[in-house]
Amino acid sequence: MPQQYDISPEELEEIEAYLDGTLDGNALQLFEQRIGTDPVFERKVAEVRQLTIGIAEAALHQKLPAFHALVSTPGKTVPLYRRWWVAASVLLLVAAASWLLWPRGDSNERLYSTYFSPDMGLPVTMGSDSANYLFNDGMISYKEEQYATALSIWEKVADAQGDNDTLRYYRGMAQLNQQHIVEAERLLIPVSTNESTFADDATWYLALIRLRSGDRTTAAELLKRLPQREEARTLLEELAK
Amino acid sequence: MAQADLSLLSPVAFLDALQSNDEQVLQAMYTHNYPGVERYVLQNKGTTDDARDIYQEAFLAVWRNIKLRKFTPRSSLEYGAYLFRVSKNKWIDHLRAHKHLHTAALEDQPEEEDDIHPYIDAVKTQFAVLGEQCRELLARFYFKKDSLRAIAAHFSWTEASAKNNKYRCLKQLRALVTKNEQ
Repeated sequence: MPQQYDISPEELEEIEAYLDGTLDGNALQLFEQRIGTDPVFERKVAEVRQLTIGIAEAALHQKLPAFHALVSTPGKTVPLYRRWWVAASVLLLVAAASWLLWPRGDSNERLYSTYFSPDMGLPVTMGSDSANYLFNDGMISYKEEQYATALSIWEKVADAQGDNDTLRYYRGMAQLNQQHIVEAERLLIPVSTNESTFADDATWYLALIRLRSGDRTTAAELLKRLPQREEARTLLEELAK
Repeated sequence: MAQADLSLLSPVAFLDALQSNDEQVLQAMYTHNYPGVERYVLQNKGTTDDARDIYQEAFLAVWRNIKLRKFTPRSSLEYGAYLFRVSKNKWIDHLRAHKHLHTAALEDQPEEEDDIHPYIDAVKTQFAVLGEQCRELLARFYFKKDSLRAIAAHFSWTEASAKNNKYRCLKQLRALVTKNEQ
């Protein structure tokens, strides 16, 4: 891939946005038009794509010795995760089967709508200290149902002060309330398994997400982790019908 | 994320985790799938060091194919099966190259799993030549997917400096690749 051209900072930013899938609407249309009509620009896009893959692969390569150090070798006690993986594989197969076989659509959606209500958010106290100021600012946006604004504020807090389960949980809620299911799941799963105040709530919403996607088996598994929660018990009974 | 929790990820979330280089998911995939490959290599004239080397090569090839959207796994099971196949084919190639193919693998024909991408390989090679700060900056941005704000905070820079330095490092890397291609 000979380089007889420069890539300006502006071009680089635009190409990266395109590769990340964050260009949309008119900008995306114009970008794709330019790829189609400008062969040099097309080469620049291809080059940036391979550059970024090469850099990331080099970074991953450096991590492999650390990954390998965690591999279990024969003679060692079979670690818990390997037994877990048998169960996990079975669960995946069952989940896949239930996805194909279970009556879907209306009943899952109906149950989801009946049981889902958005988390109300935390009370915001006046005169908060400065460390909590930004978090509370996000919480005000959340309560006003300005979920995208809340998310953007909380992401800044996580970047600046480090992430924690409260931030993950409410970012998960803000994603879920915007129907961004994949992002919501990724934020809620770690919260559900930590010793966190929000673990049960995260598990509850994960169960509802799985129910809505038609995966009743995993939804039921998650609900079983909440024996103290009345609505979880009732929903579990409904799922068993 | 604990390894067991991977079973809770939907196919879309699993793929998203791989695409965004979620280190916990990658590590879980690595450790979970290695023993099967090691068994195969040991049964076919290899050592544990051979198994590790072939597996790491295959692991990176699979990762690259996911990035290039040549392989789109829908579950950890599908991912594991593909990684095993790539590892096995790489081992058969290795045996062929060293004329040891009177083994259990004799009947197998390797498939073409990964194309050659000389530019990506050159970037990987030249990345090692960059200064430490550039390597860390670029790895944080392109592998860890850290924001410029987070990178700026890490290096005690402004966000604008982080952006400029990222551009400068990338330019340096491109120049190294071009110079060494000629």
